[in-house]
Amino acid sequence: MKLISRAEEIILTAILLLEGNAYGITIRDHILKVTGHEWSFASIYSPLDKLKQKGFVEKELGGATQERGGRNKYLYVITETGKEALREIRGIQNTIWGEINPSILD
Amino acid sequence: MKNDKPPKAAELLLKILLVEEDFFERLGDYEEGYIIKRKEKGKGRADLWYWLQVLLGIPVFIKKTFYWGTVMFGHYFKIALRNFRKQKLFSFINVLGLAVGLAACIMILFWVQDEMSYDKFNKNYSSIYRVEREMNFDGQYAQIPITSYPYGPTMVDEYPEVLKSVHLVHDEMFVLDKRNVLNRVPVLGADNSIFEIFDFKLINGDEKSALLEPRCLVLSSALAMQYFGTLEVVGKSLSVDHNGEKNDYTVTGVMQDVPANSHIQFNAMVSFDTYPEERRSGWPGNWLYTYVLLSENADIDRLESIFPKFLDKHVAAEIIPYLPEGANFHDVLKLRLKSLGSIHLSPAEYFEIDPQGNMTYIYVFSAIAGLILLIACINFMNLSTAKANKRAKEVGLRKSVGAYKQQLWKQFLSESTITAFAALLVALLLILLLLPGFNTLSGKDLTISILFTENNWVYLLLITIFTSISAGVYPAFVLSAYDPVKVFKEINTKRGSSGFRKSTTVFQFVISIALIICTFVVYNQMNYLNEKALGFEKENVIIIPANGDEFLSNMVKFRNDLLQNSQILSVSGSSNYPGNDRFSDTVFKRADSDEKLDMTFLTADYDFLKTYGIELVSGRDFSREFVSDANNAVIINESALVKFGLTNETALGKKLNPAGRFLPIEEVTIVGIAKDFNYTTLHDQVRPFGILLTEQIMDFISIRVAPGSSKDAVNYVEEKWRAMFPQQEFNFSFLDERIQSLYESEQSMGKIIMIFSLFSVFVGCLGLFGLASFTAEEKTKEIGIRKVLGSSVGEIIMMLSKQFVKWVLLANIIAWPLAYFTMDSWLQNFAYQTELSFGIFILAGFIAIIIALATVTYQAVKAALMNPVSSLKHE
Repeated sequence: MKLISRAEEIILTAILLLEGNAYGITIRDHILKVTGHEWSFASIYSPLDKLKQKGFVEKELGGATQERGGRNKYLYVITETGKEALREIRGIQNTIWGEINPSILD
Repeated sequence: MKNDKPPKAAELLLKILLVEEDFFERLGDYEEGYIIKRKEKGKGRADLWYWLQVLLGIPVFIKKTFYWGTVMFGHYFKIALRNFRKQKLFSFINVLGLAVGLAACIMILFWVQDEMSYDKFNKNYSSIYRVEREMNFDGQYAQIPITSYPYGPTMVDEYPEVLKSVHLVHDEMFVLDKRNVLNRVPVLGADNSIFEIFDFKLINGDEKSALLEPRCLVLSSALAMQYFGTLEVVGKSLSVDHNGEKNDYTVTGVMQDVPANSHIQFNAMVSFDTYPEERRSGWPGNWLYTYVLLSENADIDRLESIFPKFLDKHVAAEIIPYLPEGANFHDVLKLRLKSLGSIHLSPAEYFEIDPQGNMTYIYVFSAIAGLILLIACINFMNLSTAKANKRAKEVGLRKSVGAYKQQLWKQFLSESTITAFAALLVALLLILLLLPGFNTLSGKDLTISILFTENNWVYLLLITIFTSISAGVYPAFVLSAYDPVKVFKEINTKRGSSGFRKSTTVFQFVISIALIICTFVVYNQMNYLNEKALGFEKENVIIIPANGDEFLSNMVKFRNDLLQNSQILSVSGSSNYPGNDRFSDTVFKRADSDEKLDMTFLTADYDFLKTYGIELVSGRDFSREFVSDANNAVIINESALVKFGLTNETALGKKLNPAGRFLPIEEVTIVGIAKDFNYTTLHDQVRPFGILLTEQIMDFISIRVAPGSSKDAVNYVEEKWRAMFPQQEFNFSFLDERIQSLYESEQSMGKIIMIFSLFSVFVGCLGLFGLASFTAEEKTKEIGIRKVLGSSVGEIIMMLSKQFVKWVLLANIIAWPLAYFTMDSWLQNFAYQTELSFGIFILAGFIAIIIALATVTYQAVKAALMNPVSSLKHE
């Protein structure tokens, strides 16, 4: 299977951590926290659309709130195949980094 | 917290960018983010942030649209091709119809572009003006583009805005060629400033000095080759007979050919100082064109507002004595500046420097081309909606599996776009075929390479896309509106309203019928002009331009020689001939009273009336037997008689004094009254006219020959001519042909309208043919049942054709008044008009019905002859 991209990886981990409260705003906040950069909505949505297409995430209807101008909120949850993809990328991550002594980079 | 919404414009943009199903979710996210930002950083920063977020979405949007666009377009293309193949006849009609419409549009576009491009090659295009005068005299208004010599130079002296001026005049000279024969060569008299004002260029020679000295010539390369066989001719000389003098003129330059889109056309120039000093002085007399170059910031309105002072200072003294009592000089005469850009398309009515274009034709042709394209678009709409039930299941299925309406819109618009581009290819082929013919008719020199000049290919694409959208929008709207549930339950769904189809078909025929009527009227009028009795006999007259003194001294001998031949009936020399479009006029004053009259005139010798067969109503013809006639007799026409307030009886013997320096005659006696004859084009009414007797002016020799002997007679005349005037060119023409050439522009317009009306009829019939075949097909079962129940073939054909005939009849009723008003106003251009007879209207309607019936009947007969067994098995 084709590996997921870094952006997809970051978003997937965010959804995993947010445990059922993952939507545009919260995902963006999380990304700001871990990367220190503010991502545009557009750059979140396109990997998010891809993840949905591949079946790694699903959408659930959340509630509408005043701040959203009365519009419905959809929450993203990770699927079993999504978790599988994360495990795979983590495995590869460990393998490629495992043999590298961190001091080499200094 | 009411006003905590994100910026409206940004939100609108966002709504456009978010097209997918997550629309509301995403919109909500953006807004929530905005509110958070606003609480933290305040409104300004939040607005900025929101805008940024929206704008950052654009690249993604484009990428997506493009990606899905290509994928889906590939798919639509495939489906469209399949449909083309499945419905060959309909696709053929659509493509061919649109192709004809596009071809007409593109050709007219080229033509209009060419007409609009006149004189734009001049760098000083927007600063060049022609000095003109407006005359409002005796109830007659005239715009006079010609002036006398001092206007230009005086303006340059008196007004700082007027930088330069040039005098131009069309003239002719006679050049002695290698065979020792004088050739008539039209030449433009011009000052050297022509090179500074206009962008006429020299290949050889110095533009700073070529026309400074008297008797300098600039030749086109063709003329240089003709007389010298080389282009290295600067400094050589030519023997020239010009202004009645024989001289050697020096060639000082070879010019580039004048661009075809220059409003002044010439092949040779002679320096203006060649003209004698006395012609170049004095304010009275109009014989040349004055063009001026203004400074860039010149204010035309200001100049025109101070021109009355200019007139007061220089010309008032000369003119005021001639004004009727109480007339205000400044109301009678106004000085104007006409911009170079307006000369070609709104030329002066009289004395224009060269034949020019006509803004009306631009409007008319553009309208016709647009209408033909519209007819073709209507075909596409009608056929697509008529055939819609074939696509209903496809639409139903697409909708069931989740196609959006917009996607269906896109699909059907893609189909019309594909059709339109296929049509464009066919149209380009058509243009390639038709352009030579179109050039002959319009007198232009257009080539297909125009497509690649300027931004024409962009216009082409725009026209094609516009066509595809206007043809495709309505079908797309109808097709995408199908309800899938109804389609699959086979509930009879709407297939585009048949009312819409009916009215558009009627509209198409309105246009076609109106154009047919216009063609007929134009042709009728042309026929009328050719056949109208002009008051003189235009057949069997040969006209030869004559120049020089040798004709005056040898005329008697020449005439006698010619009359030896029994085929030659009479010979006359005159200053002009009936059927020319340029005449001189001057004021004639009655010797016995103060009565003055502006009369058009020519001078002629004794045999003029006989040669032209002009009838007299009273008095007598000029006669050699009356010694007093020589240089003293005049024959006036009935119009002049009436204006002078004379009668057939009282007029004879009255004396008139003509004003003007060019006449060798001081007082004339009226010896006869001629019946009014149309001495000039039939655009103009017959005005007071006089024929003055003199043998001292001879610019044309007219020869009447016996009917049916013109060829032998011409040979005989030529033989005598060569013997007697070996140095003169023999350049004859027939009077009736000269007269016909007066209406050249109307004739070519008539032909162009005819061709376009054929186009429109053809395209309209294509559509009718398609609709008829659709109706026949739709009624296959009905026809089968009728036949089984005993209907005859004839009855079925009737049934199928009836409605189409009804439509065409309705179209006639709408088209008639339209055509009537259009043609009535066109005919106003002519002083003498053919009747707009009702017969023309009936005939045009009849033709339309016949064509429609012929088109429909083919389909009807095919359907009616079908075996009921197979038609009942249909579907």
